[in-house]
Amino acid sequence: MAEKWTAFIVRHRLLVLIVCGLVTVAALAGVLRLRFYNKMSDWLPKDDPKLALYHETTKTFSANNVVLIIARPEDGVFTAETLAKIRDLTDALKDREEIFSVTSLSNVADIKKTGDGIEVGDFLDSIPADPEGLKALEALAHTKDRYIGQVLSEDGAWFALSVFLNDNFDTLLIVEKVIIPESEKILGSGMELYFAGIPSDGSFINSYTRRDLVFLVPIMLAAIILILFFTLRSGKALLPPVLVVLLAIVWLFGLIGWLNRPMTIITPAIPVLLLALGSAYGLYVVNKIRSDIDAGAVHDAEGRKALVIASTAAVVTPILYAAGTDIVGFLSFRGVKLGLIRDFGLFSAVGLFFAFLLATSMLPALAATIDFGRAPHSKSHNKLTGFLEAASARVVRNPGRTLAVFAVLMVIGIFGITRVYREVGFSGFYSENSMPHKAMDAANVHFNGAYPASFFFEAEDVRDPARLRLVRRAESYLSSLKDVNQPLGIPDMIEELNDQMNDRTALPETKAAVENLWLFLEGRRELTQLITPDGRQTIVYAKISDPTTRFCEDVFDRAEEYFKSETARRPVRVDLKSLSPEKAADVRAEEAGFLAQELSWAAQEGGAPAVAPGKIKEALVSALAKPIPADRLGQAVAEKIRAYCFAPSFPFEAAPAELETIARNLTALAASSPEFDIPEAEAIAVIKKVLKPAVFDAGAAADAAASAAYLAREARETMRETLLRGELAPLISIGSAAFEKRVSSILFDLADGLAIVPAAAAPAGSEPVAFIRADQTGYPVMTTKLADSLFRSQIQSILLAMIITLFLMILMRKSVVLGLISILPITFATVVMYGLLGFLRIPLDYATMLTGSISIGVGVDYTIHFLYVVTEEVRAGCEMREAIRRAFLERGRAMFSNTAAVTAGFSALLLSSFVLLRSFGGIMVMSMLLCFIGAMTLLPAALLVFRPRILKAGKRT
Amino acid sequence: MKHHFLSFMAAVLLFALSAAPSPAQDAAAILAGVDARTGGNLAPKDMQSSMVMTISQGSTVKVREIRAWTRNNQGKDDDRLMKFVSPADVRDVGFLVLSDDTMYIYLPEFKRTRRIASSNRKDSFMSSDFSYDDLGTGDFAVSYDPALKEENASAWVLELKRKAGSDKTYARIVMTVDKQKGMPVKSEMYDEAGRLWKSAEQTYTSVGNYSVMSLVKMTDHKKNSTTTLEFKDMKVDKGVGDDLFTERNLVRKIQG
Repeated sequence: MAEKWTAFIVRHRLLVLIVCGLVTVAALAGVLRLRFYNKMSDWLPKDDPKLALYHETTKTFSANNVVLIIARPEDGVFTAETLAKIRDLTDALKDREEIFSVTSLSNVADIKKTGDGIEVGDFLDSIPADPEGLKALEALAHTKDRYIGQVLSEDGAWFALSVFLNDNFDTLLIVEKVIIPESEKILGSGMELYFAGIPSDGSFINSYTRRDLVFLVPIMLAAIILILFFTLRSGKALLPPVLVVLLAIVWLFGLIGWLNRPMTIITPAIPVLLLALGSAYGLYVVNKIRSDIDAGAVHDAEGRKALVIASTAAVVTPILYAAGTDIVGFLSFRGVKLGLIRDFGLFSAVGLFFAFLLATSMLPALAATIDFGRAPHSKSHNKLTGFLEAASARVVRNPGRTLAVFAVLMVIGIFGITRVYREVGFSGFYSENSMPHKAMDAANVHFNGAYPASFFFEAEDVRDPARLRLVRRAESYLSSLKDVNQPLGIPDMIEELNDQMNDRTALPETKAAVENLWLFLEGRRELTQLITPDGRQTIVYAKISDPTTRFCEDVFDRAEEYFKSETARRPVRVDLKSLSPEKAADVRAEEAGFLAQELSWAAQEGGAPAVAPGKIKEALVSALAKPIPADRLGQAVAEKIRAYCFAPSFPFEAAPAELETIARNLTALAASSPEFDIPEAEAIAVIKKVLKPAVFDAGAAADAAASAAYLAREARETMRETLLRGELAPLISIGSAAFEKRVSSILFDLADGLAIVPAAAAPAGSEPVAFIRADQTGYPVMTTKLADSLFRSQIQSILLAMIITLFLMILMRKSVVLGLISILPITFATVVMYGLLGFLRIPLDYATMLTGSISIGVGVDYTIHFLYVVTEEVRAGCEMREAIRRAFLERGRAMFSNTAAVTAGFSALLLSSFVLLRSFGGIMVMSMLLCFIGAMTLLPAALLVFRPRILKAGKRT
Repeated sequence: MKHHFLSFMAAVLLFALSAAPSPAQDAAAILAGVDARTGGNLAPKDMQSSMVMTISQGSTVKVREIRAWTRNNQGKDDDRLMKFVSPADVRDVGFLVLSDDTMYIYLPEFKRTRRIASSNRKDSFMSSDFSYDDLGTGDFAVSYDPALKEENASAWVLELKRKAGSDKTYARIVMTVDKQKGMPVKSEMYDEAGRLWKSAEQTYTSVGNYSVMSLVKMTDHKKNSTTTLEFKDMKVDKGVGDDLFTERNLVRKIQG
């Protein structure tokens, strides 16, 4: 069959060469359509519920599509020129349809109290022209704890724009075509400028990968050509195998271009792989032809053609076996979950098929047309022959000891494997001096990181007061995690507005109160990042400053634990006013325990040591048992009521003396009750008594009574909160303004009439506070899932490759023992190589995970060719040791040339801009050497020790 | 004879040319008429109405019912009082607007009024597609230079370009003015970059001697959302007193 095929090729060699040329031209047109696309989230399987949520929140909130533009101006941030640039860049970006929203110094919300009112605007409504104005503005910015670490660094030297990208567009392209050019154009020179975040990572990977592909592949090719020239000693002989690989690469990438499939971070590994595996196909053909020419005389063209047919046919079968196992091995990647690995497997299989096709068609066609020359007999050639002879002799001398040494090495390798760790985040791929790495450093140091970690909640209405408290609780939890920074959610915005409007940083206890505040908040741009317009979904958005896989996995696990334990508590809402005082006190104590946990988390923000919730609960319960000092409360109530009576909004226009009397009497009414309650009927009577009948109105008096009662209650709650804070001070010391606000909000829960407690501690029939969905999302989820997928894909691909290889080898050799021996070299190479990863602390990442499969491909090729010669020689009556010696000589040269050439080629990857590809290159060098050593030593040693019965003289295989 | 005839024709021609108004004057006159009818001496001195505000964004629809009182301060911004009637959670929330920068809000759940100075007129009013600026009734002529873009049997189309130094939101407005009513029936608002930002369609009804707006639909093309304001139960020129536009009145509960 092989001979018929080769004869056909040689007979129609001109046509074959023309067809190859035409296909190459078509492929080159496809190459022009190639594009890079490194969006991590697209590599993940779509059926995982957590990843589905990741995609959903990306679409809804753009939470995972954030680019941080970070800059340090030479002249400082608070100059008129720099502030104008920030404003101009914000304006240029925010209205673009590709941009979801932009937050910067220019448009971050600024709400400030002004006497009896509040002023709402953007922080940079106008830019002061004078130095004093700029200084004052800078000082004001530093008082806003929400600005620091978001739009301005703590030292004031850096500013940042958070750009949320619309997921309906190609986010990587937006970074490349819009964000980077606009930033550079508007911010100009005189600034240290960086871009950080998931979309910019993908964009940088695109450009770095593109650069590497263009820069490294020619270097690899040059290195390989050099080595091949050194071994083959002939340009004419060197050209065909190089041409096979080059054309296979062009055909493959042309096909990728025509199919419009994107190239990814591991695409540069494909030409590498084709060079490693595909070059061997052509080398064996060329070597065989040259050796046969050297051995027999070729007098004319017909003789030449006949020799080419015979020589090629002799190697087609082993090449077919080698290519077949390689292709099947890579096709097995189609079963893995990680998208980019699946594509890699398919492209590699197709590329190898092209290489096989070219080696068994174009090469013989060329060989029948041009002279490849003879096998070299230079000194170096003789030296190599001598080396191979000596190596063969050494191996066959003591095969048992050889096997023992390899066994020990494998045991050490297994130990190394236990130390392997995974790294899938792009952050680990850049070298320290690279721009993306510096960007990440700047983001981590000055802006609390650039990678999102979010908690997602869905309910009928997430603005329900009870649910808001649970969302705030989630924020408190997130703030307790090291390197998880500045969680922000809807509760923060409501608390802030409540503080500005009503002087209390608290979550309201009634739905109507929340809606009152919400009416004012609604329409604010920043809300779109945190809550959907229908109020059903919300996220708590935090940033992480450690994007390594290990850290992300830890955060992921902790968050899972959090949701599990919170669900187990089954929180319910209790209206304390509906209970008896004794029962209310009991529930209040339980609430103190529930909130103590939250306070313990909140206290750990910024890395402070944890305070035991039990101790916090004790302090709170003790404080709750103490009565509020009546004199202080009375004074507070009096002040509030008096201010109310004299306000322009007081329902009645009356003389100051009348107003004074009303205020005094209402206060006295309040003081007559232990809790300073003001009964409505009595309050109305007080007002009626003072006002003239013509002025008095019952409806207005009822309003006034209700207002007075509300103000008294407000004073009582504020005083209770102050007392609670005082009691907590020895355990939780006074911290930053942001921290104190969070503590205050939690303590106000204990002061008002709404309690959220675990179901087990609540009165029967209490209403559950549930969410339809509550889960984590963001970078830790994506990273953990990617790492998990990577690991499973790795195990799956190696096992599949091994099993398929074993199966094919058993099929080819018709012997289980021989099949098992065949996979010994690749097993050795794989185990030792991964052991090296562990010992050298090189992570298992997108590139290094490919080394196993490539090694198996290369290793099995060597095994097939070596075994082929051994079995043929044994069939011909040769003794095993002699057969091995001949295999060393006949195949050893080609294997050595291939190993040397490919090793040189992989060494070129050490010049890559990526740590990832540099590690990959280094490991592949080791892997190639291990495969070569395994095939040349372990394989023959195993044959000599186990002596498979099928390898008996005269027994066909 | 011939000489007399030619002189006569020249005079007729001269007269015709001088009588035909220049396009710039027409535009200014048209705009002045709009200003007069919407907030000037031809507008109602005061008005009371119920408004239904429907905000649609995607599949989310919010409906708010508001009672509104307006007093026309010719040459200045109107006094406006708005009280929410529904939904129930925001009943009695009130807004009192006395000038461009003075606004009071009353939150009944907190028994408190607060003065709000919003320096950002572009901010959305109650998450609708109307900004605070959109709801104002300042003269267009003060802030925009008009030009007559086109004219047909039923309407003039004016192009208003923002004057240098004006702090109005829109850089350019294309306003279609109904010839019969002398009021805008369609407006397209453009941002600094020349992109269409919002468009408004207005419908009018007769109340007394006035043409008053009964429906306005504002579409925000950047947010892809629409707000409709429907005016009902309109009463004009009832003579509202100063005590209507006070904080005291702001906090009173809505009757009925």
